[in-house]
Amino acid sequence: MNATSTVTAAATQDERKSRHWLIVALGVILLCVGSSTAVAWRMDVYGIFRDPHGRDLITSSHERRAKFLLNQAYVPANFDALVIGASSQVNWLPEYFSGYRFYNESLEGGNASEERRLVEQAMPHGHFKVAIVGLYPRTTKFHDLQDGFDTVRREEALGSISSLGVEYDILMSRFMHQPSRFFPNGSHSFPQQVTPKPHARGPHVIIAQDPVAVADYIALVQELQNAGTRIVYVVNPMYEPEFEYDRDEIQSYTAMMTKKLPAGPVIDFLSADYASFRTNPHNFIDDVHLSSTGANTLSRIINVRLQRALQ
Amino acid sequence: MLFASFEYILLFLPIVVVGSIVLRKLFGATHGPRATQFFILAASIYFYSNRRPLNLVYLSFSIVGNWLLARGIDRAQGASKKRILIAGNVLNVAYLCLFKYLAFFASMLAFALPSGYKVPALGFPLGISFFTITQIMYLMECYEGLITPGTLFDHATFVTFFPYLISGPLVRAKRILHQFGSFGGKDETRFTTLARGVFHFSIGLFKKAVFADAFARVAAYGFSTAQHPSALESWVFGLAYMLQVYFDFSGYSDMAIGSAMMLGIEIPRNFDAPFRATSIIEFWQRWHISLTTFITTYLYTPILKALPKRTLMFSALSTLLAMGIAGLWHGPAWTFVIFGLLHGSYLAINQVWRKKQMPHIPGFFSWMLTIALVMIAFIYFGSDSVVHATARTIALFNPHHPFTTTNLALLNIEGLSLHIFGPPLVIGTLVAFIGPSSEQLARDFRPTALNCAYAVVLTLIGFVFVNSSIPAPFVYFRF
Repeated sequence: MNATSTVTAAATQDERKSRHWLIVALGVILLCVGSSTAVAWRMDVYGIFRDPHGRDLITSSHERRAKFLLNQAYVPANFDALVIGASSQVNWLPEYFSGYRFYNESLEGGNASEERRLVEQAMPHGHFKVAIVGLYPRTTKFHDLQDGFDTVRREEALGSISSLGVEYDILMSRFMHQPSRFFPNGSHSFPQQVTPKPHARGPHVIIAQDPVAVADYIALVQELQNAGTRIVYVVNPMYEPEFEYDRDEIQSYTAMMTKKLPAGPVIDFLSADYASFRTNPHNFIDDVHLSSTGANTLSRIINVRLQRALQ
Repeated sequence: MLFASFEYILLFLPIVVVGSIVLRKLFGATHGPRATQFFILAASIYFYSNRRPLNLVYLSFSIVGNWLLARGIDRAQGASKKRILIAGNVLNVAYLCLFKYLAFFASMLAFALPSGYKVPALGFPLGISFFTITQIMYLMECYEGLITPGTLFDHATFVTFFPYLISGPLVRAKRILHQFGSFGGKDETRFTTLARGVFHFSIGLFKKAVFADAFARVAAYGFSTAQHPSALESWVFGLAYMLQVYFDFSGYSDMAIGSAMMLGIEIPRNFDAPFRATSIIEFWQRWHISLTTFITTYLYTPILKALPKRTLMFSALSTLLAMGIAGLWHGPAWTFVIFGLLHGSYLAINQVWRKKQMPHIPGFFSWMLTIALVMIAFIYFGSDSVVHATARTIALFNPHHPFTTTNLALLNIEGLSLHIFGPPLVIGTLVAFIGPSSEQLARDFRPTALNCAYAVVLTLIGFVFVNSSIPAPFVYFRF
């Protein structure tokens, strides 16, 4: 009898402890979810819950998702021109392009299909007067949507890896005075600053093009033109030794794309005019990505050429 | 509805759990369990059919048909009892083939079919592979006298119970039916089982949303984007896929077991740290345990009995056939058949090795060999064609580029973001190979502050990953 009542008492105590455990566990979960959601809504890092006019919103290391959501309201509300292209353009300095407020849509490892999907988020809500469209073979080599780009939802702004990354960056720069690598105009700097070294490479493989990606790039430019956007093409620079290695392929790619794409002025950084830029190793961190010095110089050159092209 | 979705976690499951407790209390000890059972049956039907109501028609057909067959078995005497059982099993297999294998078999018999003949597309009822096996086991249990067929209401509740309806674990009626009185939880243990269920569910959510999807990224990159992988890279991608499937399916099973527990029902475990196995036989005792039980009881044993002698050779042949059928059960593709046959041959060799008392392989090497063989089988399991799978298997032994890491170096810029997914990959690998099983963690569960912290942290991180649109579909949903 005593043993039975001891067991019953233990079971009752277990039951009481379990109830307490449940209340605490579920309570803390709800509290964390609620407060995190409230903070996310208040910070509204993608500008989709409140009026985004005049705000400075940055991306984070999950820039695909960030840019996808920023394009839904923030970009059309604050910018009237776009930079479109591959990762070799992500650290350009659009603030140097006078006369327009440029947003840099370029993505690290990005491709034409992703760029089209991004810009299509913004087009229904804004008018873009100018678009700089980069020409570099990597852009049209693939059409896969990376990082779950095809499944981005607005709810992600209420607490996701991407939004928490941005919130963290904002808090770090606000309270710890750590400058962010990501800027409100869509550009970001590269963390590393190394000087490229020519390296032995295998066969020339970069020119194999993906027809879906090529078609998407053409469609994107046509959609922009139909909406009244003026297009300026920029053939991205390459570090000279690397360019020499692939010169014929790159040039034939450029010729092919300029023929397929709607007509427009072309700023060609692979032409002889810019050989000195390409041979300076301090302008590059690898074969195509620019150092901050290179990005600075190139952006100033583009600004001059852009004004001329748009006259 | 997915277990790893807010719709399920924050809406459906809490409503069902709270609803079942309230109903049980409201209707008292006499009518409470029945009222709760009715509520859970309605919830399960909604869970199953809310996206595609037509699924419910197919499921209902299977439920009513098998219930009638079970009653027939129960009433019949002598040989007719067995005839009804055989007819029932044939009908169930035919029903599964109709939806799942018709096109596959037609492609093999294309030469005999009229030119231009097209197999009608009937769609694929969600979970048909699982609920068909459940029905077969139910009929067998009725035939063996282990259970007596109850009402259609009971049978429908048993088959449609949402925690295991779509992707298992495969359950036997005799382990579930007697628990129906516990729906909504018994007064004296309600919070204890509820807390254990929440804890188990949080582990499953984390395994699925964080671990499985981190490995899925590496595997997807390795199987699609990576070019000319070295031997080292091929092993990394193969292991990543193997761990993806493990965390995906065991995470799903944990969420199923946790959900059922919250409703007062205990369903059997499905995984027990399979990558700590040091032989293939042991691996199958720890991997998809409910399927292993089915294969052993309802495939291997009957096949062996049908063979002329019970020798080691015939036992090996039965194993090979049983595993080949189990492989085909996963899907209408040769890759799955080869997956099954590979495991069948591994098991057969393992059996012979043991019986003939061949030289003992030291534990560590035996473990490594087991993992390597399992991984090779998974390469077939995860490939879209036998040609691709074979190429990937050959690449494991690439003599020209044994250790280059060009593809691995590109992982970070191809969307993996190592600063986010690196820790889950490292921790997940350790958990899979040396960590305790979720079952063990849930069994040892005590309502302590530390376990509370675990549950909270696992759930919150799981939520962040779920809300990041990262989770890939459950691997076993397509089966």
